[in-house]
Amino acid sequence: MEAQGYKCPCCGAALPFDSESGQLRCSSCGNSFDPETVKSFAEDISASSGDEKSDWESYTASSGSGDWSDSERGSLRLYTCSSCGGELLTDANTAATNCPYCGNNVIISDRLSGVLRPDYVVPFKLSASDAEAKLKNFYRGKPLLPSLFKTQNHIESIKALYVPFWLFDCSADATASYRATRVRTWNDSKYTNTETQHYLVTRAGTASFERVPVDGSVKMDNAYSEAIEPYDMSCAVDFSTAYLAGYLADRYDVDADAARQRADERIRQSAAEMLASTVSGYSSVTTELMRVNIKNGHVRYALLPVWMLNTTYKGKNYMFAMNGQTGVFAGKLPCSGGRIAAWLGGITGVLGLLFTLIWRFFIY
Amino acid sequence: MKRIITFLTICLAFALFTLSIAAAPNDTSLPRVIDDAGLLSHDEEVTLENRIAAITEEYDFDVVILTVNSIGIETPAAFADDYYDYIGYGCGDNSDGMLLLLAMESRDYYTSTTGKCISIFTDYGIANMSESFVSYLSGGDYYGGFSEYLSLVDDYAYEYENHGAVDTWIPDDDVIPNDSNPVPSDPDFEEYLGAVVLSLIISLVIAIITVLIMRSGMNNVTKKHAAMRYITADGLNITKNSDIFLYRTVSRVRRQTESNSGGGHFGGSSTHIGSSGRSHGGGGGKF
Repeated sequence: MEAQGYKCPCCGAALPFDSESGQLRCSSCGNSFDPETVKSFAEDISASSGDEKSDWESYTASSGSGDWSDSERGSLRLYTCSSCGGELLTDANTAATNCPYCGNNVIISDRLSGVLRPDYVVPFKLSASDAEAKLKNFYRGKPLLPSLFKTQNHIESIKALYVPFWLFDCSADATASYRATRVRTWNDSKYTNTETQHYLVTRAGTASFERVPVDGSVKMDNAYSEAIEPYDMSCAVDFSTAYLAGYLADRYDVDADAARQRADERIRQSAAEMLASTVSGYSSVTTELMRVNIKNGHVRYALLPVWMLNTTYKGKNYMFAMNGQTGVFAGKLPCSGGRIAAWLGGITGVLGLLFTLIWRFFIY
Repeated sequence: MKRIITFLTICLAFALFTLSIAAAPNDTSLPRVIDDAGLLSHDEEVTLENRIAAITEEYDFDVVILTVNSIGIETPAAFADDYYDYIGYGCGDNSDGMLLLLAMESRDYYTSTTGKCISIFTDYGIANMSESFVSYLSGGDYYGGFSEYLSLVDDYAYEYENHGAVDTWIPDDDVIPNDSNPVPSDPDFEEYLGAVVLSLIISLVIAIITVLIMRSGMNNVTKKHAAMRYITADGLNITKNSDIFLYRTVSRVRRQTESNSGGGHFGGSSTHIGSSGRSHGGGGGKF
């Protein structure tokens, strides 16, 4: 046996071997432990609590579907927005005029180098009128919306845009250890007894993730792009410039490395949650250790369809985004202060009256 | 010989005399109905005296009815107690008996109890009795009132001997309201105000929660916090799964022992010490 000093899982004191009982006995707190138990406990604790660096492949021009072919290059046009600096790709036959983000003029540009060729594209399924209808639908059933919004909200623009996304595949293996308790109380003739059983719970597991999307455009707010998830990637097709005809595609400006961080976050969170969900039957569970290793990271670049609607109401700009494939709609609506006050007052008044009447006639 | 006989006769006479005094429960020469206020006719007085004599015979305690015009600055209780003590009413070692005082000027009536009458006539019993006969007094029918009173004394004494004193049961948890006859009334302003304020507070809380829920629907632009949708169909593959019992701790809290069962007590009689040093019970009111 190695001369390894073990610590008591309960109080942390030194744990000598008690030859009589064959167990490790702590003199401070009086608990006895099976040597195997203490050994695995110590192993878990001594393992590094930090995560290893995620193992993602880097994405270069030759990754994925490779680089543009010469004929493709010939059919591409890149536009830059004079005002906000957005860069937009389209095919040679589409004349882009306005920036979908800020509405200003776009100028054709020559700089096609450095533009990566997308691997996948999910084609648009829904039209501009679908987007408008969804917007109107979004207004419905919103009691706090100012009444004039519906009539006075002026749609400035409805633009179809292919938003660049990085898609991350990986396998994650996660290890976690928890301290869990089971509490039992019972009464006897003199006392109320509370017994707390302490457990060391370890879980480890692996899971594979496919195509976790992180948007690759600085201009496209991550909150909006995540709000309109998910895309049905089974409809994704290999990219071809033909899909750009009539549509604008935002050229990515968040590179894969930068987007990776967000993917990491979400994947680790999922792994932790999945493991934690397998711990059941306890009164309380606290996580002592959580380690997630991401392996075989695989990155792809895709263009996903988004309808962008910009509206103004009383001088303020409101943006709405719709998933061009599934129709999931996201946006922020203004709340009318007057309506809030009215609802608060109304509910308080009506319920207040109701309760007072109940008190007067049934309780008093 | 003659002297011995005389001596013995005197002894016998003396013994008989003492015996007769000892045997006599009370001084029968004392009047039991003293009508200083002149409320009763002579015949009425006699009838009442006879009834009192019957009660005393039956139950072995004294009963006195005293009417006066004014008791001055004394309280009815003190006046009644003192009269009873200093005149010397009562049967037996404890001077068992009771006195009903009527003071016309202040319109007070008061029952003073001594000795075993304290136990026979509890606070509750006296209050009950008073309720029954006071209406006669208020109506000016004093003879009727005293008559009724004596009937009640008889009944209560009978009850005491056979079942126990007429009394009320006070459960431990309850508070006997002062008003033994609560008349359901409309809530007063303060109660209304309290109820309205509480209702408004609860309603306001509900209103705020509702508005917050409505508000949350206005903005659905939120980041996803995990990537659960993107997990492959295989799901989570658990490679290690162990739940190891470490140790147990037990703590205990001493419980409060239950209070004695029954949860209540009889009303009983409240007593006070009169100026003579003797304790009396009793109760009274205004007519």
